[in-house]
Amino acid sequence: MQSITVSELTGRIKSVLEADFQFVQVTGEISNFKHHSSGHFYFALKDENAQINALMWSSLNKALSFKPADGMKVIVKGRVTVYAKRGSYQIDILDMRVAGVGDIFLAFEQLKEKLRKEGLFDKSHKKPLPQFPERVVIITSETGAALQDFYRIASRRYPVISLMLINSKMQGAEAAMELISALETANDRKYSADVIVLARGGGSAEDLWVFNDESLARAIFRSNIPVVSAIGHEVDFTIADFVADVRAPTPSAAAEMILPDISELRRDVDEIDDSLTADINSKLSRLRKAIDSIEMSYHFRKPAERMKDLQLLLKTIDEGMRSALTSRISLLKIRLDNIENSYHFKKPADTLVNAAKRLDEIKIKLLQRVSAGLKDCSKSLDSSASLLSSYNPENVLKRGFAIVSKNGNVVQRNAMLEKGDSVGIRFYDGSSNAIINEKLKDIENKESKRPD
Amino acid sequence: MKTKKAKDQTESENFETAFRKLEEILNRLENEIPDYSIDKILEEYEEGVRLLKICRDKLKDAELRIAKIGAEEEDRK
Repeated sequence: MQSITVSELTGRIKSVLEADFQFVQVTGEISNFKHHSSGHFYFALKDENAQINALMWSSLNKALSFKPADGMKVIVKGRVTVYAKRGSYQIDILDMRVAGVGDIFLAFEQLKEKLRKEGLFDKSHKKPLPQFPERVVIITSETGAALQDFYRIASRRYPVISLMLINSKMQGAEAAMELISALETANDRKYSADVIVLARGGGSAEDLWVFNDESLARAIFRSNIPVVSAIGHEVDFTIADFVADVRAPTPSAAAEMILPDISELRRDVDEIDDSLTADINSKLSRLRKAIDSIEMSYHFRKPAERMKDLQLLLKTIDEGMRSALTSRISLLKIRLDNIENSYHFKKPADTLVNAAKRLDEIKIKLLQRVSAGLKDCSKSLDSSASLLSSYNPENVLKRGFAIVSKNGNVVQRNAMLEKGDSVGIRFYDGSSNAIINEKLKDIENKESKRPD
Repeated sequence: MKTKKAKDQTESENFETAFRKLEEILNRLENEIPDYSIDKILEEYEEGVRLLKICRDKLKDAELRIAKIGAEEEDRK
């Protein structure tokens, strides 16, 4: 028998095997799985009694919805190929799916495990919900029941929030992309949201499948604002639920969890109000008591002046406090009262009163002086009048004197006259004319009488 | 000027801040401020009254409104 080379034999085996097993479908368990850095999968498929090498090129294995792992039972489709260099044969896999449990479930479990390992579900990454949210973004379908459910509870519990809606598809091929973009929008600073709700009503596993999307899970993880997942019913858990900061079983429950009860808060505020009043009251009554005891003490009694000041001040404070407590409406008014009542502000008022009093006194003195001055004036006027009347020529004439006039001029001196002058003589009761028939001697140096 | 400042303060204070400040005031009144610090007590009381008003304003009756945001922004409901 003629011998052939190894290559020849291997070549013949190769052509026989590859011709006969161009398409096989094999069920087996994965063992010794290797995901090579080149991207290709290398492993063995085995059952209880046999095993066969298997490989799946990266160009094909990228399309898989799950990641193979040791122990996994799979059904592979492919062809048998021979690797001449090693003298080995293997299955070159074209497609692979999980045998037994569904691919989808497995993919879910695997993604969950992967993300868990990466720490996306870690408690340390969970952001706390705000105690009193003000701006809430709900990402949901605007026509869905989830929005109505959330709205109903929210308007009952805490209608003072600003509720913003981002409409998104919640199932189907485009849903993941839309949800991711909605999460980015909700994170926009201009909305300054403090919590985001991903809400969707119940549905089939396929309907909710989008919430197991890896990119969506990462987008939820990236959100700077706490994300609450409210997807499906209580029994439904999705990847989104694990990565969300808080998982609510339903949209209604989400509203209950996120929002405080406004009526409770109103009660809280009233209680704070009461406590504030009570605190102030007790403080002031203690203070009043302390002041009373100081007031009674010997040392404060002695300097009477200081005591008076202190009492006034205390009274002012006391009054101020009383009105501060009884009237909450306007503290400003109370302060004004305080100021009005206070000792220091009363002082200027006293000064004013004194000044007014002094002014009155000055006024009276002034009046007195003026009237006295007026009296003097009238007295001197009277005497002037009688003097004036005594100077009246009529009165002089009455006493027996006469006025001699020449050419209309009063003749005051003998020197003014010449012999033969015609003169007028005026008496009290009439006038006569006369002629100077003789001029007697003038008396020299005799002063003329001052005319008045 | 003072009125404007007070107004700005009111706007910038949300319920949470005002609520916490109120609790702090209560705590200070109960544990820190001595009875004789009349000015301080009055000051705290005044601030307390102001904060209470903010809290009450934030809790006053309102109808929940939904504003649509994102690609197709518009008012709804």
